Amino acid sequence: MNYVCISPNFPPNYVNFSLRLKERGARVLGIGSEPYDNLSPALRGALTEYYRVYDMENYEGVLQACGFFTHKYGKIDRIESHNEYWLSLDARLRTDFNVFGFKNDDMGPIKHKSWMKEVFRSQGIPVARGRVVTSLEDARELVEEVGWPVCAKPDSGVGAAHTYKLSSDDELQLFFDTKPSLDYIMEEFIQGEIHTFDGLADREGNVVFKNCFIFGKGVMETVNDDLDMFYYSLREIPEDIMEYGEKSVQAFGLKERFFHIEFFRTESGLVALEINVRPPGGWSLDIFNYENDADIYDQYTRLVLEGETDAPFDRPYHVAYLGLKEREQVFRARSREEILKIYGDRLIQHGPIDSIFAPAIGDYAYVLRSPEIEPLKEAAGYILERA
Amino acid sequence: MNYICLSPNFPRNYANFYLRLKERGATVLGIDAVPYSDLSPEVKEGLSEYYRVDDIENYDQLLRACAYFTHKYGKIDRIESHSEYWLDRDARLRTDFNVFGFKSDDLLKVRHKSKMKEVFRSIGVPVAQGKVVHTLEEARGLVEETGFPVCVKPDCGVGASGTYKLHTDEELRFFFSTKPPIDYIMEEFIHGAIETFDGLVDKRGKILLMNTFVLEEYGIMEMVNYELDTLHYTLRDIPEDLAGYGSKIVDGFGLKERFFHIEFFRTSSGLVALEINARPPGGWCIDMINYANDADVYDQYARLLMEGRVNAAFDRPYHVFYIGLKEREHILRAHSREEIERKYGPLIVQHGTIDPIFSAAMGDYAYLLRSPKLEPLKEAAAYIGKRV
Repeated sequence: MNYVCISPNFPPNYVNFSLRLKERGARVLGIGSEPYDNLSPALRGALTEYYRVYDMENYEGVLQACGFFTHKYGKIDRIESHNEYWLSLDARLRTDFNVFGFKNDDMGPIKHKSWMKEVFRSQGIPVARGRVVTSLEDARELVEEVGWPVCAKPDSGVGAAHTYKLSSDDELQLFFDTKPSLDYIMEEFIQGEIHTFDGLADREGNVVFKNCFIFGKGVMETVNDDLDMFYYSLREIPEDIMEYGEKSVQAFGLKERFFHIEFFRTESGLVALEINVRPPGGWSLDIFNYENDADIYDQYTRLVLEGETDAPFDRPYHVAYLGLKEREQVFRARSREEILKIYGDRLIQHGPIDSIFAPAIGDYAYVLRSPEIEPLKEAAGYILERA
Repeated sequence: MNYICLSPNFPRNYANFYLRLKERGATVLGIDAVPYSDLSPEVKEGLSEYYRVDDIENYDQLLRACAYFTHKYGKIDRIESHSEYWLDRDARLRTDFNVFGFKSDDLLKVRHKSKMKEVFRSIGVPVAQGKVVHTLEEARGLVEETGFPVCVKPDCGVGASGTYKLHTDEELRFFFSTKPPIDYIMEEFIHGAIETFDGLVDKRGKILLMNTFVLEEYGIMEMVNYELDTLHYTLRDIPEDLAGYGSKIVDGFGLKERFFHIEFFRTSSGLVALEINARPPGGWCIDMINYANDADVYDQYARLLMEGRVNAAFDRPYHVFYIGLKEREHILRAHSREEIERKYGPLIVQHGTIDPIFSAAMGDYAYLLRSPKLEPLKEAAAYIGKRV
């Protein structure tokens, strides 16, 4: 198995994929722009070869790197970054080297929120009312239907960047005066917690691992209002999440892939927000591990190399993630020392977050786990308190 | 433009493709198992680089060779050997490197005569009655419909090899007791001259060049099996029905930026489609098309790739006649080469020996004659081909 990892050093926890793949006998080949000497010794040990390109944004260079590997090692079996940012690059390389997995032609519904919405609708999964708006008039017409506030996001965009909540016609006008020249989708604003359906599909599209997170706030508010990030995993996945989630995995044709699907839980039921064909970000993979006492990196590797996983994934624990904003204007009620002293028993990991992720998931994070949810909520209340 | 070809040394005349492509600015890259020193001077001149593999039949080596070129020169733009033999490998490499042109999935319908027949039928082009037969009983069932003789050919095969005409139930039984373990298609035997519709289509499937060869009296199968001489000639006016069916077929098979060579029988009740080949006609046929048009098809193809269009008129001011003589010990000729040259020198545009690998179908020594009129060519051919 020739497994090409795109940007194998980033994010740091993805190094575990390369390590496990190597342990189970795959030939792991890395492509990245980071100088080889800057890779961690563990990663260097896992990679059979690393091809350094000067600019990952220059497609021709990455293509030539895959050409080099094919020449030296034969047919490439997988090309994968597990990273939203490189999804299109992965797909293009897979297309150009005819490699298993999502190809260019499969990316339309994944990259465009409007197209994605169509796929959800076709499965009978409720979605927020909305569409791509091309002019101020067009947007006003939509507002007449759905009312204020509305939410505007790039139709083809990653994460919550350039996403706005608009509450009045003045804001709408300002948005149109200043918006970048991209297609924007505008939707009714949905009130509700975000519940996710995350997991891993096997080569036939069966969900072999699943998880559900509850988010207090949306990523958009977290980024725009400097809020702390708090989410936790459920031990029992609600039936409606399971039904819509598995339907979505089928409809989007996911094979041997991680996924991360977001829903709003409203008074009248679930509303699908979006599907991501990669693992949820930040420390989520580690959270899966704590939740199940498993090694998801290794389970993925087994899936790729042997076609199946062997962990029970029966969620004996709830796991909570608390990402705290540490900014000058944010005053914390508790010190780290106090937190460690009081909740050390249920704390399973803590540490600083890479600054690139910090706007969404906080500057310093705590992961707590317990078979019961209440002790986690109690600890979260204490840790998150601001002065 | 990074252009890759397999076996650039073969057939010899294809060196012209590579020379013209290079002249027009393409990077031509060759792959084969023969040592570099065995390549012809023309091929060496045309190629920017040659990658020698140990075994050309080992696909992994071909894949790595293409990957080497991708690493060194960037995205491959074309993989094209213009050869029936490499059709599958070209398509598989195109699939594995996402290169423009027929991919593996597209090939089924041009590789299997039974699939080809289905496509012909679906677009309303008449075909010989027939199907793949697996057992003697099945074959007898078909014969009851069509009568003897019948024609049997490998469903997926090149040229006329392994092809037989069967006249009786004994022959049919003999065929089944000796046939190789591959699928055979059996068809009613069609009488008539063979007329071809050959040419080149652009990237959108528009026909840029057309040509018709006529093979009178007997087909390639008879020539191969009975050591007959080979005669065929080009028409100046392409019959309307031929152009009509031919264009439909090019469209129906989705040919893009490709040569094609389609064979029909001209029967008393009209045309019957025999087969389509998604490559140029073999042997000296490209040169015949050049002589018929005072054009350079190799260069026109290079222009098509590099600029998206051709600029030759292709209005066929000449008939060109091919006569390929079988030179075997037991065949005695009435006229010597010297006599032929003395008498018909002004009509002869090319003559020479044929590669032994082609000689069963094309003869051992061939003459190309050309004239604006057909009659003088037929007269000369009769003289040249006369046996004692």
